[in-house]
Order: sequence, then structure tokens, then C-alpha cells
Amino acid sequence: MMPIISLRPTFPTLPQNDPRPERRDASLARARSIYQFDFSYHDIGFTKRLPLCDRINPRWRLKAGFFAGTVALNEALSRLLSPESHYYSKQLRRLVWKLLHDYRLTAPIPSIPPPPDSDEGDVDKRKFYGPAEYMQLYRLIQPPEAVANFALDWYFAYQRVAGTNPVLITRARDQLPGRLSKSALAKLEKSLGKPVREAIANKELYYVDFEILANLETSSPNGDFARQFLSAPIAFFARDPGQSALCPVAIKIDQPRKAALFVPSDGAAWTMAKIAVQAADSVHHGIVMHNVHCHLTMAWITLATHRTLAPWHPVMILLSPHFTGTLFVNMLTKRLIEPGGNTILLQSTDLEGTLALLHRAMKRYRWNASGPDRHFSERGVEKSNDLPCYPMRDDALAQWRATHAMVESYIELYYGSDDDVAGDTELQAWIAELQSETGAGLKDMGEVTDPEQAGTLKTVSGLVRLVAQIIHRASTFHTVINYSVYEFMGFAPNMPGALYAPPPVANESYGRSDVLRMLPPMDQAFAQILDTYLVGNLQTNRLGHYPPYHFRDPRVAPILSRYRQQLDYLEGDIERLNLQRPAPYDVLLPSRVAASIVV
Amino acid sequence: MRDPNDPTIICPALRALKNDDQLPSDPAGRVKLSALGKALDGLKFSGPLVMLLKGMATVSNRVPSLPHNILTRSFNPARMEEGPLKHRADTGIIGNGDFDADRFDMMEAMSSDGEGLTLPELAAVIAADQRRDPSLLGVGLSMVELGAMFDVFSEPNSRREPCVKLTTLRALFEGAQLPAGFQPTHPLGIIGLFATVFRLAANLPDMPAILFRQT
Repeated sequence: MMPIISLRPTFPTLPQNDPRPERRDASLARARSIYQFDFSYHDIGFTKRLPLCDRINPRWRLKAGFFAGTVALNEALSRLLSPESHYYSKQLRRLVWKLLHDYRLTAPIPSIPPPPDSDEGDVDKRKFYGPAEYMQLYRLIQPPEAVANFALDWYFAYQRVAGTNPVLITRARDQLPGRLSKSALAKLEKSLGKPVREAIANKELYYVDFEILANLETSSPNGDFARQFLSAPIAFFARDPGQSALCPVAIKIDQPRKAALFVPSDGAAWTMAKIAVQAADSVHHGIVMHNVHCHLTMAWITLATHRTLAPWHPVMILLSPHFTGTLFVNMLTKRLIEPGGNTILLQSTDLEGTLALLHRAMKRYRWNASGPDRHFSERGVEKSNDLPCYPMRDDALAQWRATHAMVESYIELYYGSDDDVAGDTELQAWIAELQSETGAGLKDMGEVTDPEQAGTLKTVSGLVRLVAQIIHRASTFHTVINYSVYEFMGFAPNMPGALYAPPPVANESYGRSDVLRMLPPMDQAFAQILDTYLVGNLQTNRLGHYPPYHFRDPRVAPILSRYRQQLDYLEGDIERLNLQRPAPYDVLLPSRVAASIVV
Repeated sequence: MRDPNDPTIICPALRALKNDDQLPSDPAGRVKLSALGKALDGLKFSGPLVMLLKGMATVSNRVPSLPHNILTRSFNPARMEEGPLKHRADTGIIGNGDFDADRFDMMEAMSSDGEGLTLPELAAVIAADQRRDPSLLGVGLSMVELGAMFDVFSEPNSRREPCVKLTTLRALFEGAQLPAGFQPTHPLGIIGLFATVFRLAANLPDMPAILFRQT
């Protein structure tokens, strides 16, 4: 993925100290002609073209080919050994017989009847599969971690703090989200075992609100028989006094006030409500967190940085390894949300719904508010007494502190005072480009300590925070979202990409077949495995490890060495913590954290 | 880890037989092999299979106690996880002596009809458990344990497929009793048990991968 030797023309210099400013200007002019934003696809910023130096290297292709081949072989084997294969082999025999008959070599045969349990036909006639049948899809590859616990309530709650989208859990502080009817509130309190006010005061009530998914268009990728559904549920969780782990207490199935509320004692309806939450989480994960908060954001930052910082600007030198692969992946991301793309096929939203959700997410996205520490404090779960068991927070914040310290030491090599930052014309152009509507268009950027300085970059600490946050977003945060997908979404009964039957409604009785109806047909389940296995395994670089000779400044080596040492210590700490957690959370082991977005 | 003095039997079948007074034990909890043989005869196990299981029971406790087992022709069913065969009740449902409702719920979740578990569904239970306990010995013993349970307790479901009813499993694991009114309907021999274990292995989705990982 990374070049073995990166050719940096000169020693890092700030523009105000560069002895050859004309060469700097020429380099930037060339970069601006190469790195261009393209808003032609539904006003979403993509790279106009893929510069030669940002193309992916053969090692990536080799690895991707290996993983894709493994999953393809797994699928072929699974299909061959499935009970349906007997039907297909019978079909093949009949076809051969028919050909022979066409050539008058045999007697006629009866017409081929449709398969008794095929996927064809409308939703009521579609065959539904039990979890055991989905288990048969892993003939060559190891089944995901979720297979061991997917049906359990504690695991459903645990995925909010150590799953593939563990960034939404919020502590109820003043009032509950959405609007609850009186009967729903009473049901919630009964399940909670105490009044909501008391639970809020004791810091024992939490929720995940998928309000952003309300009223989106859903799709039918293969016709009506595989029609997809989506709701915007709110899931409530509680923590017993003295206990650290969460348990689910209620699920409001949609946003309207009258939407049904289900509790664990509701039997099959409760299981259906949990699946509805998992499907909503999958859509939120794929489109909002993965696409907007990781891929698009980092692509915009990559373009804006190339356009405004000279290649030998110290910030550019530090950031460039964290941009490796980002623009290539940005091109792939665009294909996902085009007609026929995987997002449209596997997730509940259709093209229109996907684009609407992307725009909603982009409009709401705030850079500083989504900072590694702030996005926990904004949800009221920053400290361990707010939410004791939150593995993703504990591991991510530890990495953030290490990254921040490394960036601080590095930046201080070049910026002695705040004046150096204010006087750096390229940095000022960079922060403007990052916020420009014709550039990256990111909101809530710049200094965080002084609200009057919002949108500007005037201090060394502000610069350190911005650079560290970019590195954290490209590495730790993207790893949280990306490299955990297979273990949770690789098993459709745990986290289907879409719902294939409507979510439950109040006052209806449901059975196990209604639960199975919500799960994907086999083709979609295979596609989900392929997608998540490839995406979740394709790592070609590692946080803290930079290409040899990338930094020409000899003062940088000890800083990086210290950083790697801190990450190594952290690896041991996480392994020790994992022994005490309800289930190990390996995603943020530093050795598994990618340095940049390569998939 | 269990208390070394915990008298609970963690093998669901032996525990149910004991609670059904079919497996008398001395005050130390030791069971005569002849009593085991009689209980297994009652389940319609064939002679060679009873002999095999009696042999396995003899070597099921800690190695230093094996001479005592051989000389007294008895064994301690509460200490089988300490022996060379490491019979830990590998479904994990009563592995610690207590009933683990979570592990039972996971087993129940594999049933597609909510009525019972067919052989492929039992294989899925074992495969899912692999993520929790990835040892090959664990997989092997789970297959024997569930295979034998399937052969003894299976009955046709509404689709006329043989399955172990969830009520049966609950009686065995949670109630520690044989299912109410249980009468063995068909004899079980070594070949039949091996055939069932083989069918379970064939239905175990990633068997090649499990073997590959272990080697």
C-alpha cells in the first residue's frame, strides 16, 4: 500500500521560511489542477480523477483478490452442499434430457415444475431460513463472532458499546428522545422497574435513537418478493445499580408518538423489534458513519490538503501516509451509491432514500463535535461512571491520547509559537478550503477553546488538535467502523443489512416464522458475507508505522519511536482489559488499526 | 472453574438418569459401572455400546484415580471434566454445574420452527459454540454428546423430520430430569451413534476450516 521510499524533495519547511517560494507556488498550482472536487453526482463531493500517485498498489489488489476468491470459493462450496443444490442438479438433469428430446433422442418428459421452496414469488411465498441454515454459509471461512451470542439480550446491548457501530449510545440526561405515549411510558417504566426520572437521576438509563432514518424511501432490489423495510427505532437500555453492563429494556419501533413500544417479555415481537434495531443500525453504520463520517470526510480533507499544503510542508509530510488509498476508495464509494451498487442492493434504502440520508448526514456533520473526546461527552458517556462498560470508548480514547501526544511533539518541532501558525499562509488557506462550500465544506472547524475564534486556526494547540483528529479519523475511528463489520454483519440473523418484512406492530401476535420473515434471502446473505469479509479483512498498513525514509528530519524518529512504544503498551493493556469484558473487543488492538482508509 | 467438592453432575444425560433413580451412587458420589450398564440398557443401548461407554466411564476421572476406578469398577460422574476425556458438557449449558440460561437460549435460537432441533440445527449449535470454545476436543465431544442425545430422544416434528423437542432439552438441561413419560423407542448401537456423529460432522458448516485451524 505505502511506497517503499517516498520521494520528498526537500527538508520540511514552513512557507514563511521557504527560501524558494516560487517553487512552492508552482507546486501548489500543479496540485490544484490535479486534485479537484467533483460535485456532479447529486451534490456529493468526490474526487474528479484519481491522480497517478494515489492509485492503489499491486499488493492491495493481490490481497483483495485473495479475500474475494476465498469468499467466492466459500459461496460455491456452500451452494454445492446446500439442500437446494439437489434441486438444481435435478434441474440440470432435466435440461439435458430436454435437449436430448429436442434432438428426438429420448421420449418427452413432464414440464419442469417450480421448486417447492424457491426464493421466487411474492413475499408471502418466499422461503424463510432459520439461523441454522445461515450457519451453513460458512464452509471455508470462520463464522463471525456474533454466531455465538446473537440471540441474547445482553449481546444486543453489548453491540451498542463494542459492536460495529458503537458510537450512538447516549445517556438520558433531561428528557427521553422522541415522544412516548402515556401507555408506552408506563410500559417502559414497568420494564425498567422504576420511574424514568429516577433512572435518569441515577445515570442508569441510556438510549440509541435512529431518528435520522425517519421517512426514507426503501427498495426492492429483486422485485417485490425481496421488498425491503426500514424503521427509525429508539432502543432503551438500563444499567442496574452496581452493574457495569447494559441490558435492553424497551424498543420503540418508530418515531411517531403512537408507534408501538416492545419490552423483553413480548416474546417473538421483542425479537422482531431487536432485528429492526439491528437493521436500522446497519443502515446508519453503512451510510452515515462509514460513508459520510469516514470515507467522504477523509476524501474531502485529502483533496483540500493536497490543494493547499506544499508536499514539503511539515503537516503535509505527517498527514500524507494517512491519506494513502483514500481517494482510490473514494472512487469505489461512489459506485456503492450508484444505481445497482451494494448499498442500494443490501441496505433498506433505495437510491432516493440513500441520497436523502447522505445529505441529511452531511448537513448534520460537525467536525469538532465529532472529535474523539467530544463525541463521547456530547452523548454523556465520556467518563467511566457515566457508563462503566464501554470498551470502544476506553480503547479509542487511549489511542487518541497517544496520537495527540505524538502530533503535539511533532508540530512543536516546526511551530514555536502561535504566531507561526497565524503567519503560515498555507495553513490559513487549508483551514479556509476545509470549510469552503466549493471545497471540503466541513462545518464547526477551527479553534475549539475560544468560541470567538471558531472557524480560524490561530494557535499551536488548535493545529495539534486538528491534525491529530484527522489522523484519528483515518485510523482509529475508521477501524472501529470498518474492521468490525464481518464479526457482526457477516451473520445476517444478527445484523441484517435490511429488513425483508415490516417491523412488528402493537396488539398483534407473532411467532417464530414472523421473525424469520424479516431476514434476508440467501443471495443477499451471501452478498453481505462477501462485502463484510472483504472489507473487514483488507488491511495493508498499520498505525504508527510510516514508510522508511518518509521523514527527512532526524528529530522525528524519536517521536515516532515513542509513539510506537505507547501503542505497544496499549496493546497489552487492551488484552488485559479484554479478559474482564463480557466479550473481548479486539477491534482497537493497535496492531490491527490501519493507518489510513484503504478499503 | 468448579468447586472440587461440587457434587453436581455436568453430563445432562447422567444427571437426568441419577435424578430418575436409575443411577444409584455411594455417599462419595461414586457409581458402579454395573449400575451405569443397567441404566443404559434401559435406554435400549446395544451391548457393545454399553461396554464402550462403561470403558469410557472408567477412564473419565483424573488419571491418579483410574486404578481405583478399575479396581472398584466404579467412577465418579461429578468429576468427569478432570479426566483424560475432559467431558465438560461441551454445550456449556451446565458446564459450571448451574444451568446457563444464555447458552440454552442460544441453542433454542437455532430452531427454525420453535418446536425442536433437527440434526443440521444441532450441528449449527456446535458450530456456533466453536466461536466460544475453539478446541477440536470440544467439537468432538459436543458431537458425541448431542449425537447420542439425538439418537435417544429424537421424535418426528410436524414436518415429520426427526428432531429433539425443545421441551425434552429443557427437561434434561434445566429440569435435570428425563422428559415426562419418556420411553425409548428404538435401540442404539455403536454404528448408529457413529453414523449420527458423522452426519453431524457433515452438517458442521466449516468442518474443513476447523480441522485446518487445529492442525
